[in-house]
Amino acid sequence: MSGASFDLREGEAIGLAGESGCGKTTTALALMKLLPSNGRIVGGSVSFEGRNLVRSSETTMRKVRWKKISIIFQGAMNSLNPVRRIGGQIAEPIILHEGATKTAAMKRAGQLLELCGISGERVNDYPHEFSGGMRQRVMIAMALACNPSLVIADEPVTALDVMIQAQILELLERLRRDLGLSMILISHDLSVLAETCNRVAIMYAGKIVETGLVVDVFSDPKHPYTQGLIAAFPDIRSQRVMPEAIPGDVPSLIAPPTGCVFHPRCKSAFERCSKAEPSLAEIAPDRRAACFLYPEVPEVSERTSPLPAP
Amino acid sequence: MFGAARQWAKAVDGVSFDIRKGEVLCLVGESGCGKTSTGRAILKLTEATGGDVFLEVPDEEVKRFREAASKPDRPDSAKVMDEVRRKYSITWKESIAWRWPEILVLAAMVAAGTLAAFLIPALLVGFVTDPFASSWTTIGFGVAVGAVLGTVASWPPGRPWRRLPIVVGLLSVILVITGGIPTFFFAQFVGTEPEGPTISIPWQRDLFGMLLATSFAPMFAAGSSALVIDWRTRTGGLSETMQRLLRRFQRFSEQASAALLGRRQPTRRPPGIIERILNRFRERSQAVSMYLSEWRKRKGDIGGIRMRALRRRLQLIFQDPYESLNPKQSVYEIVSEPLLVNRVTQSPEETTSAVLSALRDAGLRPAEEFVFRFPHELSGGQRQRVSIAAALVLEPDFIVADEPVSMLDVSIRTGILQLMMDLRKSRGLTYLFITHDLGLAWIIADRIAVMYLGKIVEIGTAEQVIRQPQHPYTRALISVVPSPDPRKRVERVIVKGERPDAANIPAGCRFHPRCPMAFEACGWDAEEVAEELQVLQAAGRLPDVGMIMAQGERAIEILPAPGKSPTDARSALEAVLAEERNARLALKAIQGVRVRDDRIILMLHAGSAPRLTRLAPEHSVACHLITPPSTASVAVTA
Amino acid sequence: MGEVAHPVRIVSPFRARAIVLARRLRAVSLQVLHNRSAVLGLGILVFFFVLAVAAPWIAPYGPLEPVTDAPPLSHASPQHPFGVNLLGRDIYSQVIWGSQVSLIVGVMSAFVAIVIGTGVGLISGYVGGWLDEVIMRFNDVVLSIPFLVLMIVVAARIGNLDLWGIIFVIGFTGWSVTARVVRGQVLSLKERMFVERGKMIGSSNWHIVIRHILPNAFPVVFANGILTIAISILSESVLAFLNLSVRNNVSWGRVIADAVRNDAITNGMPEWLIVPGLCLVVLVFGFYLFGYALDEILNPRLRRR
Repeated sequence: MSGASFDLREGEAIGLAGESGCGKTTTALALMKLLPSNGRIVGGSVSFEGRNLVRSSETTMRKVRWKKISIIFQGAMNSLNPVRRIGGQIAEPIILHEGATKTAAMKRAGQLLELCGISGERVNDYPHEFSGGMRQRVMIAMALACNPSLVIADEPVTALDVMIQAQILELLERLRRDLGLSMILISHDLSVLAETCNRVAIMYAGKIVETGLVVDVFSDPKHPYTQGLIAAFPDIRSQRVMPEAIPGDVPSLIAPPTGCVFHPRCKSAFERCSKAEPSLAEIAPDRRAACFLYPEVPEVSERTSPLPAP
Repeated sequence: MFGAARQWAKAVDGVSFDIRKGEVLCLVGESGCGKTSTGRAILKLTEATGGDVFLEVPDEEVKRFREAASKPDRPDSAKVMDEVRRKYSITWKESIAWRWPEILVLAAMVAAGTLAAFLIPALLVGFVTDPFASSWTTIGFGVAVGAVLGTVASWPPGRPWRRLPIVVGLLSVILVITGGIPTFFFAQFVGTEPEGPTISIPWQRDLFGMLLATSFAPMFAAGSSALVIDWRTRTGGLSETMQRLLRRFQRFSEQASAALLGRRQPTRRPPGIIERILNRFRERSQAVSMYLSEWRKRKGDIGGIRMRALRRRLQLIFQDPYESLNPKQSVYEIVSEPLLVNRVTQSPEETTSAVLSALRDAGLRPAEEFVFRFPHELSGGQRQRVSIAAALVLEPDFIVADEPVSMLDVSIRTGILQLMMDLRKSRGLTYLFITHDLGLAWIIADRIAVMYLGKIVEIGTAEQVIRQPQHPYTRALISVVPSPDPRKRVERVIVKGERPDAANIPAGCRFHPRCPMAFEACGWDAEEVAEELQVLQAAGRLPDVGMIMAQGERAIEILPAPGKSPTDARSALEAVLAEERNARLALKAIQGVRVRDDRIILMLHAGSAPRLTRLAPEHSVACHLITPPSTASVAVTA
Repeated sequence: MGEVAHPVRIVSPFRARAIVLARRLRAVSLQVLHNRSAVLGLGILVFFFVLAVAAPWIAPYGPLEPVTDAPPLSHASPQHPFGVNLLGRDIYSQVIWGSQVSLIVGVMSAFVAIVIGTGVGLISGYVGGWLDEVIMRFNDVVLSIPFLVLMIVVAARIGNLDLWGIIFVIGFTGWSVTARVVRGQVLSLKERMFVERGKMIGSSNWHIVIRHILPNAFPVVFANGILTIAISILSESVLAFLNLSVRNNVSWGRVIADAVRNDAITNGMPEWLIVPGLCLVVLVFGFYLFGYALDEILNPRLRRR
């Protein structure tokens, strides 16, 4: 992915939207420097509490992970250790990061469960005794174990029933308000983001193509891809019309199209789109888009600040 | 419907609906509500434990059937229902009970054949010259005579005695081969034994007699298998294999008799004395005759052949485009397989052109490019189109689509949905669309049926269900569906709790533990109310109360706290109940509070399961709020 | 998407399948060639295969032919690169001839074991029920007897085995593991969605087993088969060591047996023992390398998008 940049203010929730394969999870992993061995950060910076994480060493990162930033992975509810009680699993990061005693950590685990809507007595149960929705709550409790200030949630509600989905989203909202968390919510489901986030960033093929406040972006999308994506969702509260499809397929990231990544599928593409790549630029107060339809948008220049070798 | 170990979990219980030709019916519900099981049961991919699936039934027959079903006590109701089932049902199996004389008859038949199998070759070989010297042989012979008579007696009317020799002869031939040849070789082997002391009755005859007597073993085997067949028929029908075997046997005997004796119409004469005896005998052994002759009177076959012909008209589109295609098969093989398996096409050219046209209809153009690709070279949307092409290639009339787009990206979903709707128009297809996404149902469905935990709670046209939902669950479901337009946010009714385990279905209305509007008629259990009271007690709201115990299903016993009088405890309890009734709905089920001896008894209302009742043409709901239980009209199936 | 005219040859389903198989074979071969261990293993196998085939022309002497120009127990010389053993035979020729027996017996007996094991595993796994139980219990019994012991006892009892005899003895005693592996694979394949789809369109069970289950089980069968070959080669050498193998030809096991029985090392001829031993080890190692690499290639790890 390239050309992804967004800001997040304290206490805010930003949604990262996009279809599968567009790089949302990669962005999240990159933020915490958890990329797999075949991934590398080649440029850019991540500014967190005044520090540039990209340039931080692994030791610094270890202090940051889970204590300042924690992440709920995609499908995490299925990766709980089935032979350990969940109390122990929640307590583990507390013991590791804060050096707490086992009793203190277990007590805190019980409190976290209560915070997330599970009876504290269940701290000694095994993962298989929980349903999918409850396991996700356990994951959230685990993410909050060390009192982070930023939580990244990667597809937190995708595999759940619509009713449980609503419950979990409501929980996340409540936690954000009560604990003053900042959140990055990653989802392919725009409707989920519309309900829970303040701001949103739309990704396509490894680039962010539009950012802004949720209300603004959804009511008046600027980028053609955003427009297409919103139009593709069936709306139960409006007319019974078949949503529009975006023609074509998602491009392969190994051989992306020249110029603007989206231009082969874009209805409003014109000549410049195939020649040059638009960069994400501000086109209105607190609104950014990467599209040549807006004259303010410049072309992409060379990368700044090359990274030291990993 | 599914059994795990010995526990039956009724995944779907009492679901009934119609699908009209050319319409799209959406079965909507969360995971575990039984919608997938229903879809599969319709296609006979899973066996339903009861109920019928009718195909192409005219309206009058439906009315007749429903009328007969609603009046089960009338004598001819069962007959009418069976008649309709016989003609239109794809799940019905003839259920014939065996009676013990019939079992004996069948056993005797087998014994006769076994006897013949041993006797004939032994006589031929010269091994036996005096068959009746041993008592064993006498017994065997007696049994054989009885068997012959029984067989004659049980023969079907019309041409009673003509097919008898054929059948017995056939049986004997089979058994001669399977039994006679070993006997022959046994004789040879026996012949090489060294000489031993001679006995009064030659031991060969005794041995032979024993062999005859062991024909009892097949008789018992036949008897017990007949009993098993009887039991199976009563509990759920014979397995397909057994039916097929019995049918094949019947057909074979028919053909053989036709070949040997010619098809001649029975001449009408008054029955002679022998025939009269036989008729009386026959009346008591109807089962065998039914199996072997009544079947041919029925229109077409059930099971086997009929289902195979039906499989072409009923197809399924699977949910997972990644799993439902064999990774080792090319697209050509996947799409042509149904044609080859059902022997639809005659030549490779025909097959290829059918495959290409199916791929084109599914939107994969140019079809030639896709033909030799493998599933892993295709994207999710393309794979699903291949799935659809494979379903289309047999030119079905009815397609069950099990969440066909839920695993695809949003921008691709529209393409697939549009394709399915276009095909509906161009080919006149009927869809049963199973989905958990109400938004999807809203756009494509003509009618929507909302399911919860194995029952339909609401069914109606899309407009009715989405715009005027009546059932609390439907309302909650709709409110919770997020909208991509943040201006259209509505108040979400988030139902509390989680879907209960299918092995532990709540009594009464299945939704009542989670319903925001439950009241006393919804079927609260004493356990549930007791639990609610215990929660209150734990929160310190009931200091005057001691133990709370559920007694049976409709009563709760409460002991006052030590040192408190029952009357005080009761008034405190009543005060708290009055306060908390609306917040904790389980408490609404309490009908009365009484003091008896030194304890308090709570009586609960009786609850019941709501039935699907019609509110408007096309719109039916199953909820006590809508149709108070006391005035429930005749329950109508949707 | 507009239509583009492509020339399409109308082929019969058989031809279509053949084309598709050929393409797949080519894809797999390319992958094999890129894998270093596969190439190394393959190289070893090819080397010994060529050796076995060309034995009649390469070996200067017959397998049991006594040499005339050197005394017994003489060390390496230009005419006898590995020396001459106590019985007056050229070790070099014996090793070359030995590759023949070892390879033939190894491959053929493994083939027998694979055919039987796959058949049993397919039926047992697919049919299930009591048949599966019966077969698996029988399998348990066979497996509980140490394979070598079983094989030795059977071979000794029958006695006087020719080449085919050895092949069948090893094959018939060695099918159990393959059956178990195949059955496991069949059990998991049985539940896959495309098998359900096959049932739904009306395929007979036979059709499903042949067209859906077997092709997907094949990678496992093949990889397991390669390893079975390695085991068979070793088994043959054990039999030869105990003088139960073929008489008219030598196998490496036989050479090793001779060496041990004639105290090769104390007699100062370690190469008599080492050379065939080394060949055995290297060949089996080659099979293992190739087998493991093939398993990696043929078993798709990433099944998801």
